[in-house]
Amino acid sequence: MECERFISEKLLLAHGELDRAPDLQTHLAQCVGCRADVEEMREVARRYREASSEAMPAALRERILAIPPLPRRPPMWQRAWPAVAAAVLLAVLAFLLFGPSERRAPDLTANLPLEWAPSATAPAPMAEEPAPISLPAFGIDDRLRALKERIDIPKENEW
Amino acid sequence: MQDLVRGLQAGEARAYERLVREYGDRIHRFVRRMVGDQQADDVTQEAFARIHRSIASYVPGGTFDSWLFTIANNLCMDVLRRKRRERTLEEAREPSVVSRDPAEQRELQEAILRAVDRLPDDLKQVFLLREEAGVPFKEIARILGCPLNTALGRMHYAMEHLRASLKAFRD
Repeated sequence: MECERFISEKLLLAHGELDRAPDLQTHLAQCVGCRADVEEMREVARRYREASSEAMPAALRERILAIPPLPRRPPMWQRAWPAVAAAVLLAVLAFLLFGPSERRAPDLTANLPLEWAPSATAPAPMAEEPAPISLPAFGIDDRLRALKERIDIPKENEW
Repeated sequence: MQDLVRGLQAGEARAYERLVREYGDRIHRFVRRMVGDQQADDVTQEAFARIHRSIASYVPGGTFDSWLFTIANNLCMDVLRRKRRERTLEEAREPSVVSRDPAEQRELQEAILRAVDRLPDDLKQVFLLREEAGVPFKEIARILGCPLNTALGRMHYAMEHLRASLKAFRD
C-alpha cells in the first residue's frame, strides 16, 4: 500500500459499504496507488470467494440434520392460563371468606306471627354499666422497698 | 428471512432443513478456516445445536446472518483459546485447508487459502466474518465488541498480508 490516506474508507469502498465519500473520490481520481489498493482488495476478496467453495461433508450434514427438534413451545397465553385460573379461584375464595361484612344473616323471624316477632319499637334493655376496674396502687417507693427486702445488703462492719 | 426464523422458532423440521441448506456450507467453511480441519466438523455441529437451542430467544436486532456467525465465531474463539494453551505456535500454523484434497485446488486458490490460514487469529476472524460470512464491518465491530476503526484496522492488516502473499506467489 503506497498511499496511507483514507485507509478505512478504501476498505469500506472495496466492500461496497461506503455510500458517499466525495473527498475519497477526488483523491482516487488523482492517486494511482490508492486506486490500485482498492482494486487489489477487491481482487483478494474475489480470489478468496472463488477458492472458498467447498461444501460441508455429507456425513456432517446428516449429523446436523439429525439433531432432534426442540419441543414446540405453546404460545404465552396457553402457558399462562393455569396460573391465571388459580389466581381467579383464589380471588373468588378470598371474596367468599373475607368479603364485605354488611351481608346479614337471613331474617328467620320474617314469617313468624306478629305477636311472636320482636317489637321493632320497644327499645332493647340496656346492659348494666360494667364496674370500673380498680388497680392496686403500687408506687415507686413500694417497688424500691420490695427490692431492698429481696437483696441481703451486708452492714458496714460486715465488709 | 423472517419466515425462516418464524419456522425455526415454531420447531418446523422444514425450516431447520432450509437453515442447514442455506447456511451449512458457509458456517462450515468459516469454522474450518478458523479452527482447522481436525475440529471443524465437531465445532460446526455444535454451532448448529446451539443455533437450534437458542432460536427461541432470538430477537431481531442485527441481521440474522450476524446472529448465526456470532454463535459460530464464539465457539471458534473458545477452541482457539484452548488450542493456544495446548499446542505450539508452529502446529497451530500448519496449513489445514489444502490437506483434504490438494489435487483439486488450483495453485492460486491454494496460495490464498494458505495465506488466510497463516493470518493471526484476530485478523483472520475479521477477514472471515467479512469475506466468508458476509457480515458488514459495523456488525463485525459489534460482534467483537470493539470500535469500528479497530475492526477496519485488523482488516487492513489482513489485506496487507494477503496481498503480499498473492504478490509473492505471482513473483
